[in-house]
Amino acid sequence: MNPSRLPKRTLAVVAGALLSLMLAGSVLAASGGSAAPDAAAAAARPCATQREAARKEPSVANLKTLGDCEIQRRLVTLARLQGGVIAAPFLTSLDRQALLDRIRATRTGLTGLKSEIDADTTVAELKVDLPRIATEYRVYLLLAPQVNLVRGADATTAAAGRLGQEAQRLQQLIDFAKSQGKDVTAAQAALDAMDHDLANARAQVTGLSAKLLALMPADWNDGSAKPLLDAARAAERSAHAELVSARKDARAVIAALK
Amino acid sequence: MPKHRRRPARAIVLLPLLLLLLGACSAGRPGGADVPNLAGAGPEAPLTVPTWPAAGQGPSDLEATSGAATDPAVPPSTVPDQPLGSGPGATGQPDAGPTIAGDTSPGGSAASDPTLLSLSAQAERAIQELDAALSDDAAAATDEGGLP
Repeated sequence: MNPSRLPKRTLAVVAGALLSLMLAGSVLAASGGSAAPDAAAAAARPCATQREAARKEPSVANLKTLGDCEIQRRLVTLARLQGGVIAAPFLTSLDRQALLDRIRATRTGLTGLKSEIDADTTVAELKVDLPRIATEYRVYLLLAPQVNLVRGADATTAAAGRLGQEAQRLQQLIDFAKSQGKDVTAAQAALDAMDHDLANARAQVTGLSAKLLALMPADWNDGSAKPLLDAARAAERSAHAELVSARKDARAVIAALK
Repeated sequence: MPKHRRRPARAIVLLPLLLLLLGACSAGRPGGADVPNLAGAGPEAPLTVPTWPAAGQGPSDLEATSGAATDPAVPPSTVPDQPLGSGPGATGQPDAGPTIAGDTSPGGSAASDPTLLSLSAQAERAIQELDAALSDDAAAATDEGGLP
């Protein structure tokens, strides 16, 4: 073997291998990779692996791993909820701040609980601390619904306000048309229906945000929160129907004024 | 000996060709080299900057849809203007949407009344937000992970 040829040949081989890797990488990047189905399946059942391991062998290590996983997924959920609260266009200033405060307090509490769990040394301690992840914070059963339903209540109030102003303007136009000798019977009837729908929509959500924000994890644990959340959902669905009806009434007024 | 010198030289000549191939592969990826639009749209039209009419020199975009010139007898709106929201997340104020800018111009028909058009658009956005909130609530996970 000629020693002077070896470095050049090696260089060429290494360069070729590197280029092949880069090509392969670019093709994978363009195709988006092939691990997405696996990731989606894993995401569908959060902490399932850790839960199964803790069930089969409830050791300190397995219980800690499960606790860490459950806390981590809640922290991810809290970040998503916080982003939604910040971006929600119709939340009132007070409600937005109240929700952000609640999310921040929950994050702080869960982070502290993680430290406690990490410091636990016995299965008995962990069997006390792990359930606290759910019972003391109720991220999924209470906080997330609170965020969404307060968003909905405030959006309902905003929509009713805009449509109420629209009704005022329509009344001006009806009055003017009437002063010009036009028959406004149909327009006035549609506007009266619109006012009625708006009053119903407002009634559904009056004070609702405050009631929702007052709920605490203990209220879920003693069974008093769930009926209120269910009632809030029903009220907002009903308000939605009233708003859609009011919008239709407004169009009827405009058509009648043509 | 001369034959031995040519073989590595040939390998090195291949490098630029491989680099060219790599460039061609990466050109279609985000962040890759720009490629011409093959959709048949042709060259991009030059940007035109709309000119804003000076005061008293013609209707604004909003007024242009009001039919103001055709029906000066319709009364101006007395519905109070909405303050402009400061945007989500900035101060926490609700976004009131666009203002009904100085709606003192006489309106045309109800269908083209600028006050109504603006309020209707804002109401529509709020109803859509209610829709989204209810959908998010329905789709939200309720699994506390088997913890009591």
